[in-house]
Amino acid sequence: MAMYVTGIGCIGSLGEGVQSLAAMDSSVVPTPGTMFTESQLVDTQFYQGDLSNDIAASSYMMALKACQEALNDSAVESNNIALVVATGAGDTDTIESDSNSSDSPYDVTSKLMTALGIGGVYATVSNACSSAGYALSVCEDLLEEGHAAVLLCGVEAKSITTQSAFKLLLVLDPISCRPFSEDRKGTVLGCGAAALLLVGSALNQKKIYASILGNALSCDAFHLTAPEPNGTEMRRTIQEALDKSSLSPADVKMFIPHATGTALNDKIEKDILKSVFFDTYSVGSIYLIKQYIGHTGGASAAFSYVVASMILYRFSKNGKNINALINCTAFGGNNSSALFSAYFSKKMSKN
Amino acid sequence: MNMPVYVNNVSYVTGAYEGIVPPVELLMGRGNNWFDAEKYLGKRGHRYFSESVKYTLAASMGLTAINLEGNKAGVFIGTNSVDRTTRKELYCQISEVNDQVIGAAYAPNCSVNIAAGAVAQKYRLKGPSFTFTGGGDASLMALWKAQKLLQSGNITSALIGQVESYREQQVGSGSIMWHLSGTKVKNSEVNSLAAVCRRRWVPGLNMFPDPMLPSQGTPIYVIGKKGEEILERFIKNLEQTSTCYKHVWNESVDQVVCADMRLFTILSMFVMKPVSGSVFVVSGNGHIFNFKLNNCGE
Repeated sequence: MAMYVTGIGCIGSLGEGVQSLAAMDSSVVPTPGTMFTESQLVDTQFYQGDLSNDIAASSYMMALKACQEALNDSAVESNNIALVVATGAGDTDTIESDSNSSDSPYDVTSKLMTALGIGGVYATVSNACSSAGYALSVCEDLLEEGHAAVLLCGVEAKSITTQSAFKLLLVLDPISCRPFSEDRKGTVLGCGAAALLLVGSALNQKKIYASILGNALSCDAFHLTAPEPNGTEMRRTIQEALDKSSLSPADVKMFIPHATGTALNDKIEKDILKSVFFDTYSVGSIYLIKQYIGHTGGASAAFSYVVASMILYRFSKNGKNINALINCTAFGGNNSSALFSAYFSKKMSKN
Repeated sequence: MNMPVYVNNVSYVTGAYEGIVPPVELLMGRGNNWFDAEKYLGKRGHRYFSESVKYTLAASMGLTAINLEGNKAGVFIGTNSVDRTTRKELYCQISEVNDQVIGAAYAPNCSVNIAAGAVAQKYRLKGPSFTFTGGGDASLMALWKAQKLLQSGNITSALIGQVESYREQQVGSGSIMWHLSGTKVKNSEVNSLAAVCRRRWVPGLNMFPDPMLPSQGTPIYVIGKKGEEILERFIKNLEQTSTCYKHVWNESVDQVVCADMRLFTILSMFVMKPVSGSVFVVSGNGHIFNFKLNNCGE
């Protein structure tokens, strides 16, 4: 089933609101700051921008802001809007406070539902860095089952334990996140939330940013933290997404890869993209967003989807019919590929 | 009407019992020597996997004689706590509250999807590997998603279940896993236990139209913890429409598994018994799941 993006919202290290993502038009990339001024993590970097520590450490507050922006951006009014939250670590304060709280970090979704009052079912997909890619599949199912719309929100808060785990695994870059760069030494984490309001029909919508043509999922089943060296399942996932979208590789001219800055992931992903899309993959067609906002964990694919929607909307306004591939991979070997497309109503023309 | 999927095997590991789900009374009173790490994972297995991951692996190993490998098989786990203990220990380590050291080999246990990933890796399951979180109905969402993919033919088999492990609630920890297939299984080793047909997943009572109720004569079972407001309202709705139903809640389940495991434990018992009829699971999170169960022996 095709889906349509009718509202978007976000908050992150570049600022609050989707207009903050315009900074990605610049070739000047921001530098991260140190995670903390004290503690064992003082030698690690983190993309927080001007977000206060209270906001950066609260999945609930960031997700609420992003969701409200996406809802206000669209014209959908219904008491049957579902919510799917994609997060790797949830509200980390319940784990990382001194109070030994018995609250679950994954209660953030039910709290959001109460605050937003949108009436549908809600679910939390926690597939580490591919959470939003997997959540997209759940959104499609909920629209098929009759929800008026589904709000997909990816969120990841500043987390001591997540930062520590990445440091232990020796996958953090000491300087910044430099995806696909020759001198990359790892990733740098960031925080934020990105939300999209999805509908199953473009009729009577205030605005359609983009169409979502297809989405495919898989698991490497190889190693819990390292990708399978040949990228077999990643390649299969991309092909399955193309098949579901009725597209060939030559039809795809825009790419937002997972591109974390780690040695293994970047090499495998780049090699696969170059081999599958040998006609259309070029430096000018790739958007490496983690160099601007860091690796936002479970929210990373959601940020990719928001950025893709904004760019494709611009393309459609200029009459350009562009299809975009968005990838994500994760610990546990999870892979996801989605194909977005510029949207043209029947009244519009396209090149 | 959605096509049914088939439950072929159920396996259950708790701090008290390991094996196929027995009547609840047998779940109590066993010792705590439930998991031999060396036997299941080799000599060094305990170094890499947290308790919750071990529960999941042990429960999946109890699903015997199931041919799973390949990209047509997936894993679907519901949990609230796979990552909890490791993250708390790591936080204490960073905060220098204790001397425990978590190394690189153990650090992946901080990620809540590691249990599903470990099962996928062990059985080489290359289909989707989902982890749903957020309470006692997370496993019902896992079941719902697995059914969608089985019915569409994206996968032909799935391991689904729930795992919980709270260090401060040792007795209530454990994992229940089911093996599902898109077609009925009948061979010398495995016979399908029950056919499960997904009907609805709705938010509370906002979307409770009468068409949700099955036809006259179909047994109706309601699973939900007594005293929860949503359950009381749901039952009142049934009574107002003169619908005959049976509310099922086995109080002894409360003494064997933690709160997040109880709904799925009772649903598992329905499958094992097996029960035929329309089953409504009313979760404290405000969701109502409706399944049609059929005994495959009938």
